[in-house]
Amino acid sequence: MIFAIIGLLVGIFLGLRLDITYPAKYALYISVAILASLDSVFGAVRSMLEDTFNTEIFVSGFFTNAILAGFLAYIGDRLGVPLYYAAIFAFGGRLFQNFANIRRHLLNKFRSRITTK
Amino acid sequence: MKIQLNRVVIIFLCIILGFFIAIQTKNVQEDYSFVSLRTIADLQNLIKKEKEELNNISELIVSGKNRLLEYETAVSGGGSIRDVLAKEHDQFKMISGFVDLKGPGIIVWLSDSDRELYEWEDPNNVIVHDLDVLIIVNDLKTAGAEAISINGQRIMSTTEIQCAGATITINNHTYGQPFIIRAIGDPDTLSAVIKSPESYAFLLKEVYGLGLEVSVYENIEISKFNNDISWEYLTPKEGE
Repeated sequence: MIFAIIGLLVGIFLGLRLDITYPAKYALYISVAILASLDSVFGAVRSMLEDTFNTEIFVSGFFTNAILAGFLAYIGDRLGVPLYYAAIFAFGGRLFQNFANIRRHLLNKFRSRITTK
Repeated sequence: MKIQLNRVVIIFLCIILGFFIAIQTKNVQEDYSFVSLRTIADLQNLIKKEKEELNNISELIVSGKNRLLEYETAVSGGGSIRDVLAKEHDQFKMISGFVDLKGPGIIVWLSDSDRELYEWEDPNNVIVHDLDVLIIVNDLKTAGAEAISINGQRIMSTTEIQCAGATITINNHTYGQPFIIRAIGDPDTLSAVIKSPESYAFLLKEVYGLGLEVSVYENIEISKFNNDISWEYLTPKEGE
């Protein structure tokens, strides 16, 4: 989990330092893609804590989820239906579930450490 | 080794994620206010106008420099500045109406209508009014008339065109109809502004039935301003 946080910090640092801009109309797609990727990272952290981490699943999930979410937002824009809500609900919900699992694991670890002491 | 690879992958993907989050926050923070096509066009027009004005000003600078050069060459060429000033003086006299002029232009005859009145029609409809003359003179000025006279009275900066019953007072002289308006300038544009279907003169002729005739001349003469003129209140501003 520390690696994930370190990676995030490095990435944010890089993003702030490099001056990259894109048209404002892509902002929605990118934000939905970010949500999907964030969910994947949380899922990865959870699975590491549960010792069920699988690199292939993580990598494929990270990219395909992001692409699918962005694509869904794009299609929704084309059709006039806000389809990106689907991505937001799905990934947002899973995000909180993953976070709840992580919290539980961490709390359990903490508690067991106290009791062993 | 397996765990190491996992960590590398996680770090790498997290870097990508953080990178995108940072870019996104940076982009969203920037203020993309709504700009309509119309606003863009307005702004473009504004820029164009400003550029034109800038051009005009730079032309003014160039002409000012040319005049300065003229003075300088006159002075350095042995002649005095008096010649240049005398030339300028003549020109100003010509413009302001103290010299007889001739040049290409048009003559407009404006007279009352000789048609029968309709029943209950206002007789004012068939008379030439001071306003009619005023508007035609203004139209001629718009068309680039360089000198205008009405019934021999040169139009000056002080000239009034005033209603005086059935007559019109111009430069303190009162005239009845017909009014003969002479204008020096480009004959084509001058006659166009009288004859064109959108013009006021056309309306007078076709709707009210006033007598209106236009002739183009190669060479018409406009006499100078013959009255006395006295300035009581004018004094040049200090430092000019």
